[in-house]
Amino acid sequence: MIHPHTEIRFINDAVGLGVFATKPIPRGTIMWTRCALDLVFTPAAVAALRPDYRRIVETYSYIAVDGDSILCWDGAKHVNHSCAANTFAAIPDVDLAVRDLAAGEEITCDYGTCNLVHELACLCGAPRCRGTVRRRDATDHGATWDALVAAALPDAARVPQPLRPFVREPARLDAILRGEAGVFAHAQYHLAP
Amino acid sequence: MIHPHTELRFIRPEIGWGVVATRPIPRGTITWALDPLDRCLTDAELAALPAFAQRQLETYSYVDRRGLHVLCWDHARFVNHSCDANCLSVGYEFELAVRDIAAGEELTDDYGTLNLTEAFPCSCGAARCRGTLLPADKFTLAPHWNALARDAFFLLRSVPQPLWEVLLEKDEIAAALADPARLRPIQTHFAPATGPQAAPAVAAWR
Repeated sequence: MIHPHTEIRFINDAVGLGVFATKPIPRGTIMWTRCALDLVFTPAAVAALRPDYRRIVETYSYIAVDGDSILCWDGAKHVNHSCAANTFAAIPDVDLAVRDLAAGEEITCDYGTCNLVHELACLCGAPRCRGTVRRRDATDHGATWDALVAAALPDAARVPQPLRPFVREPARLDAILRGEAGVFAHAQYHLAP
Repeated sequence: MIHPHTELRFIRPEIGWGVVATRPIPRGTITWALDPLDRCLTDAELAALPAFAQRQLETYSYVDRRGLHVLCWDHARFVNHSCDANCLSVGYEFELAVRDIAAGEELTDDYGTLNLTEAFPCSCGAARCRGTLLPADKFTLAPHWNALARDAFFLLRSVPQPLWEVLLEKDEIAAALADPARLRPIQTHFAPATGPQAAPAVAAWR
């Protein structure tokens, strides 16, 4: 479930749709959480899909740490990749804003956390764009992403969190927000191919 | 699934986003078809959602004949209403162009066909705008919608149909094309005022 202060907008033909903040959103805000309405496809279910639907599922879903493909029911499926993403995971399937977001700013995540089946050429235009996004990025760059999340955690404990009731593992999230547990290491997202 | 020759565009502030043709779409083209990735929610599932998600769902979903709230997975959910809609349905899970749609023209349907549960103020600007859409409109307007959609339906085989493979009821549709007496009317979609909700049928298609 994507944060309520967001909307889908058409960007251009190359990028397609994206998700944008409609109000300023402070660092530490849960921007998205996997929720009960998302469609879940096991690897066998993905393989059994008709090719046209399989292409859709592969385009708009991500592969979670349990190996299932998750197709978000709402605008979250249109969140684009950036090599300078403004959201990263505090625990699996819960993404926090790692900097303050302005109204009108695009919400982005790093597809290096998505267990990509195929490498993606990146068009994000960030100064340190990696050019290609791949599954092993979570291992190669995870420590950098972990540090961004760690810096946002003090804010996460005190900003409004409208998505907090929909987090699937609230105790695990709360322990991290209270400083009782270390942040989830993004490297653990990287599933064996 | 919405027709591939469409895109999401900002229409104007009081309308928000809408779906616009990127190429000409001739009359008789299937412009949208229900597909297995669309989400069908019961009243109970809707009620369990937070208020902001319920509002989002009520804005972007429609109610089908089972009383389920159908949220299209793609930008089909942004198709706006017009009292002079260019897309309508007969009694199957798809919509079709009831007149030629030009490149750059917005695709619209008539929310009056979608089992409204309350009055819906309309600012579509059509010459015959009804001003307010009422839940009971569907009973009086069904003959009008059927006449428009029926003529377009019999053009199905004469125009390109990129969504044909998505259709759920190909056999029934082929039978109606061969024998017009078998064509199901739009009233097929009208939900009973009360009644039990079946389990979402999409599960069976997967």
